[in-house]
Amino acid sequence: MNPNKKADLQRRLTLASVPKPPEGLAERIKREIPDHFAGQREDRNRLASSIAFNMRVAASILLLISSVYVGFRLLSPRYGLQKEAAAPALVPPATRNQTEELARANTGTMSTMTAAPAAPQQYARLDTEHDTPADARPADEGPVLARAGDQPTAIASTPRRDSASSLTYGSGVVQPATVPAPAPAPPAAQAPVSTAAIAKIANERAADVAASEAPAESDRRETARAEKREAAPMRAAAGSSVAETAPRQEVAFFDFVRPAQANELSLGERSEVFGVSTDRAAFARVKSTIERGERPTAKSVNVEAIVNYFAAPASRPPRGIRLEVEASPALSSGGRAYILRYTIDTPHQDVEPGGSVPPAASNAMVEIEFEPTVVSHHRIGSDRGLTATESTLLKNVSVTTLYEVQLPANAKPRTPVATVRLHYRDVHSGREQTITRLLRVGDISRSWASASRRHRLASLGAVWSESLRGAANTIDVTQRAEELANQNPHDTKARELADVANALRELSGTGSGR
Amino acid sequence: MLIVWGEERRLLAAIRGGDRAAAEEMVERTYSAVYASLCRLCGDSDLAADLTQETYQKAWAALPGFDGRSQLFTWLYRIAYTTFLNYIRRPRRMMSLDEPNAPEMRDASPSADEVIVEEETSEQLRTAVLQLPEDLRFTVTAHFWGGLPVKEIARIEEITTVAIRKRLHKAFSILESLLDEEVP
Repeated sequence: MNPNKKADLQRRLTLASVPKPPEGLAERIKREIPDHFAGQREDRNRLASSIAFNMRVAASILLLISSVYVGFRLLSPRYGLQKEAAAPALVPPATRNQTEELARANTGTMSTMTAAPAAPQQYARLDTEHDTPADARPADEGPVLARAGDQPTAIASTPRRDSASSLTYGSGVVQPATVPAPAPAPPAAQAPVSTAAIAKIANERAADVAASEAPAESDRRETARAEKREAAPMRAAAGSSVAETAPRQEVAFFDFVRPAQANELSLGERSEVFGVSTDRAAFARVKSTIERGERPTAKSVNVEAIVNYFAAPASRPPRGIRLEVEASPALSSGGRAYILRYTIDTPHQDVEPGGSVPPAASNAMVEIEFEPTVVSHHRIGSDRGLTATESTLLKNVSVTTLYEVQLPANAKPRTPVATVRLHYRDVHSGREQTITRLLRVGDISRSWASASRRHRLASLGAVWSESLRGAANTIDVTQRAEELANQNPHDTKARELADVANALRELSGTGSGR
Repeated sequence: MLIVWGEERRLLAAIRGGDRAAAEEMVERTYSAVYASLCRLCGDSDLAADLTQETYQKAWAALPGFDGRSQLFTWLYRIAYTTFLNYIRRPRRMMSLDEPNAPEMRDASPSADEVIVEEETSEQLRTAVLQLPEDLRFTVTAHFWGGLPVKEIARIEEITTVAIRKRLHKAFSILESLLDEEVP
């Protein structure tokens, strides 16, 4: 490079005029000095201590829940019985011996019993605490136990039978004894006792015991049934069908913690946000009507939803909640009409199928305030007011509102047009946040074509859908949409609009895609 | 007058401690230079004033994160420069004065020919600088319009002073060719 030229360039760069700041700029800047500097350290300390406090509370709650659960499990009688039931449910040695003696007395051979009841006391507990739905037990179920203190008998003649025709005790399944219940052990020298007699004796004894122990027994059964009844609704609410449909062999454990109920927190997908229709199917319905060769009725066209369909989520999802404000000359107006758009985007989060969308903010409110200099304004696609609220603002949300605005003839660039404010409480920090956007005349795009793609698609969608509702339209929507689609072939929305506008044009036989 | 290093640390410590007077002193000492830099960047005094205000708003918010590795004005200039870039990247344009429906601008008093010529030359230079690649543009504007020494620019760009000088050299070559193109 020529050294002289370089020096000249340096001189020009260095000696470029140093403009003086306007009067009052320093004061304006000083007025905006925040007050929070004084409390910064306190804020940090407060934040740290609140985090520590929250962690302690969370740990305490977890400890409490786990303690209660463990305690419940340990102290539950059913848990005790299950422990015993899990052990080999064999008759105590004494009982077994007697049983064998009886059997030998009868048949001279050992009886084959795959299992025998435990001591009567235990057997009684098994029966009453069995975790079977009360209504599943046969109505005529007799007490299948011997009186406490009696000589242990084998399984009685009225065993409880399930649908599999096997005897069920607790968690175990007992095969029917091949030898009937023995009577109390007779002396070896006695004459053999017949099987039928043994069964009869056992029946009688069982009936006696039932009569004597009925109140206690029925109390225990009633308690168990009551517990089941309490558990059943909770299981139903949890959407679990395990308790009701489980076979009797299985033990239905009590669902201590029911699954979270996402629906109660209103986290489902919505068709309206801030009162703005975001019905994604709105455009699809109109499109399918046109593709069927019919012109959609005015009532079936949801302008707001179609605007939001074409405004679409941001090409790059924001990290935090974002408020976007943009304005451009209106397409169809040759005068001083402009389209003002504000869009609220929330952060994106992948959600599994069937899952709930997490919240981004709560107690959200958006308002737009037009300056007195604005000649007129009206909201496109709706007649709702200038303020809207949303109790829970979810993630993965993008909502757009359009206004048509008329400005005076001599509006200067610095003249404010409108202020849009979004106020919300951040769900992560719990802090109130406000985003403010001020739009001035000088911020308005020079032309519609120089506005952002999102703005152009949204406004084109508005023009087209309003024309479907009967509004006068002089814009060739098809051509504009084709231009947009050609500018970015990857933009499927522009292509969709171009195709459907073209289809409507062919349907109408007009030349403008209106 | 920009703040010397030692004073700067004292000032920063005072501002962080909540001393409003220290914050005002910082404004007094730096706002002219910030405004001048922005005015040269955007070529509009009103806009430069707005951007200056916006710069300080961002500076107050970012002050807790300022680690003091660079000088205070360097840091401020970086914020101002980014504010300017964000402004020009926003999807909005000034309405053309030539359009029939354009809002009328306040008519400035008639300028002398010399003033007009000087303004046009400045505007050409400004346009040419803004056409530079980003790294060169920042280096040129920071050095010549922000008044930052080469050493400071090297520190914030995390490269050597030699690399900064190379950038400047390259920028001059490009500017020369751009300005030569504009000469009818």
